[in-house]
Amino acid sequence: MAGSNVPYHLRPKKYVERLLFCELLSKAFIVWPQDQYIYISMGGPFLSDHKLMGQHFAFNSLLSFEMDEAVVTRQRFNNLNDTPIKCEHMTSEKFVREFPQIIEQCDDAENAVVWLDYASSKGRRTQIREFGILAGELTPGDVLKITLNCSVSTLSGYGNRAVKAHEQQMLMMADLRQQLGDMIPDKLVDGQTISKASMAKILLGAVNYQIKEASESAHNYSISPVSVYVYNDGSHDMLTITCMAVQNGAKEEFFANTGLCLLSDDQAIPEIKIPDLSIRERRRLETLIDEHEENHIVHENLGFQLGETVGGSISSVKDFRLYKDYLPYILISKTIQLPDDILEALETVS
Amino acid sequence: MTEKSEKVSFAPPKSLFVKSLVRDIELDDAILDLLDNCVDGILRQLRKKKIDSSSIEAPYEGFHAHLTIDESRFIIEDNCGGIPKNTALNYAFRMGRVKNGQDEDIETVGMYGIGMKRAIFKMGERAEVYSQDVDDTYSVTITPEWLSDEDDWEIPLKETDKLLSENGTRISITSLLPNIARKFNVENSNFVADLKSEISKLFSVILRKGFSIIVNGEAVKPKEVLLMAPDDACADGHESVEPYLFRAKMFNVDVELAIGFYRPLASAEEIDGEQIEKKTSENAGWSIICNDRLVLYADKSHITGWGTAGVPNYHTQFISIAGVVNFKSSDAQNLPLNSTKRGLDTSSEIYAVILDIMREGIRIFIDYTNKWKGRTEETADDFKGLTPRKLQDIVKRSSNNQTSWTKVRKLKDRSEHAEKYIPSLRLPSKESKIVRISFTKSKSEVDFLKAAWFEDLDHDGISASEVGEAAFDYCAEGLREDEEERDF
Repeated sequence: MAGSNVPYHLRPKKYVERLLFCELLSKAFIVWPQDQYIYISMGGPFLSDHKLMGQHFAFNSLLSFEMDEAVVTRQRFNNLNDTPIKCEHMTSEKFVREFPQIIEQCDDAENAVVWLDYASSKGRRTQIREFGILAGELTPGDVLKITLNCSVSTLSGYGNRAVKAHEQQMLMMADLRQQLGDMIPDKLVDGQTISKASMAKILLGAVNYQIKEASESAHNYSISPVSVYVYNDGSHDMLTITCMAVQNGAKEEFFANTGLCLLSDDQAIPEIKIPDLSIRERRRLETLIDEHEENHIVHENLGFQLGETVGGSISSVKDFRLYKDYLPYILISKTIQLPDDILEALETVS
Repeated sequence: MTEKSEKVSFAPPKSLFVKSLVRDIELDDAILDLLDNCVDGILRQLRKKKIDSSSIEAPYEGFHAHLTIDESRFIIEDNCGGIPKNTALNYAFRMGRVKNGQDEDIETVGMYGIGMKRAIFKMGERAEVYSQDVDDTYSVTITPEWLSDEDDWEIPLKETDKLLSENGTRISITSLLPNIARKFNVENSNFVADLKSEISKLFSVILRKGFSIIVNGEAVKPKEVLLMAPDDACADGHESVEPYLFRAKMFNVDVELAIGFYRPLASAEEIDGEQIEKKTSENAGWSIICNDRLVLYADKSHITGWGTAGVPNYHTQFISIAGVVNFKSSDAQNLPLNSTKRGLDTSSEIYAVILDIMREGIRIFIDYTNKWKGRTEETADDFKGLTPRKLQDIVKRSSNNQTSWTKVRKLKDRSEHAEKYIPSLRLPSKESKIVRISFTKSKSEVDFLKAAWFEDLDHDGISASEVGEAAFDYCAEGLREDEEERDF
């Protein structure tokens, strides 16, 4: 799938997003027992998500499903962790269809954390529909996350200089309408122009519709969206949404005890933005952020400007302050060639 | 043997109305019935003021209905004039309509007198109907105790103080049934969002004419059926993509009909995709409007002529065809409506006549679609410069060129007037130099060629048909070069 083979050291925002997901799960596991869970996602050749989850949580089972057989072979080669990761050759369609049996057959787990990490811009409707089917199969305690490609550049008409700007917009909207069909939320497309923000909103609306549809058929529990982000994954803009199946009677208590929040329909979508920094710049920034609470003061003391304008620089300081704790140094050291054994050790530590 | 004079009881149990009647109607239809009542109220107001709604662009301007829907209550409040006390005492709360002479000369759709009661029983066990008109202000309260009492068929009408800023009705339903409360929970259900979408389609004409429907604080925007038409409609004899039109007055009903394309023809790939999963067919098909209410939306069944009398069944390739018929009558009984008011009475005489016209119109666009099948890209120019237009606009614009309309002979005896406009669509010349090739290959083979020829390593940017075309060109060019070398 597009983007799925890009190494993580080139995708720092994705890395940050994964750590934010871990933090969200940690909050949920204040209430739910984490050793009753199976973690399921696509994994990619390096099984990075599974390794991270294995390190963070006491999951008894981890399962990766991949449609590409070559990737599965690489996964099996890379699968050196203490926690055994089951690597299956399976399409997402088959996984979604067989999900109830997979959980049923898993002796170690009663609940699941599932991440449908779709990188491809093709088949958005199918991806959202698969999410909807899976959402309909959740039981209380389950967590479901979907990541979708929300790049406007993937829409036909984008960058077409042969037509005027408004015609380009019409072509892009028509393409998105055709891709999503009746999944497209009218309220969000009427009179709208296509931008990164509006496209993410439209896709979020389509996902939210599936979440509510699943909730309608759920008995005594509902599927609650709890987190949404957009970020740039190197070459694509991505949208990611996480929801949880929570018992209706225990909902208030669950949110109070975990500190998680239920997202509203018109939720603003935060973007994970991190400025590109040298190690020296980053250390200066970290020191100043520790000393000063106000971003403009940090900017004034930097001795350099992050971006073309003062406003942009202050905004970058703000972004860095927000996400600095999720950024490991290894990501910045990407140009250093290290021996394999050291890399492996570092990977384990990170 | 002496004959004993005993009587059998035909009296209905209350549960027939409270529990059984509600099963015949979906929740959204029950709510739409209440909105219909608001519109009927507006028409009565207009009649009082002697305003002819058909002669004004926005006759419903200033009228509104506010719906408040959540898991604990349903409230509809309008400023459409209220229910006169006499009507409330004698008719409005009866189970079924009693002939009383009212509304006989206005274009309402209320016929059976069950809408409000059925909607209340469908949703909850407690309701208050509050009404305020020029003369009276009163409320009627339905309670769970009254609902369960089989013998009590009366409820006190209480006179109250004025509560509303304008004359109208406020129906408040509480003690919602559990299944209804779940649907009304906007956090966990799409019902309210879907209802808004339904209203935007079904009340599109009424909304356009000025009526304002606000659901949970948000105004609903009309979503009308639009057909593509050129700016200069009815250019005599010129080939252009424009709708087939029909208009008539028959059986005391005014009829306007248009059918055409609402979008350019679908490509072969889109059709293939649609066959795997229905995505965008939603707008194709026939929509029927009766007295400004949409009673059928984008129908593709035999009801609207598909798959009957030589018209093929609806197929994805006809995804671009849409039609709309507008029936208007001051006597709702003349309209081809069934009891739910959201369905057609297909056995009515007027509908049988119009169905024939609908079939004639649709054949023109089916023919065009079939003739250009596999060559849809050649029709792109036909659609350039066309604008999506409403039925009324199309008919109005076309009326300017009266010479293009022809009388419908076969309807001469059955109508005051009946005429149609038949467009002239460009069809391909018979000697086509292009043929369509279609074949299937394994995905891995196609991906291999994508990577080899287009460097599309993620197999995302290039379609299978582009790979097929490139393979054909590669093969043909190679053979031609070989041939040239041999000749040389």
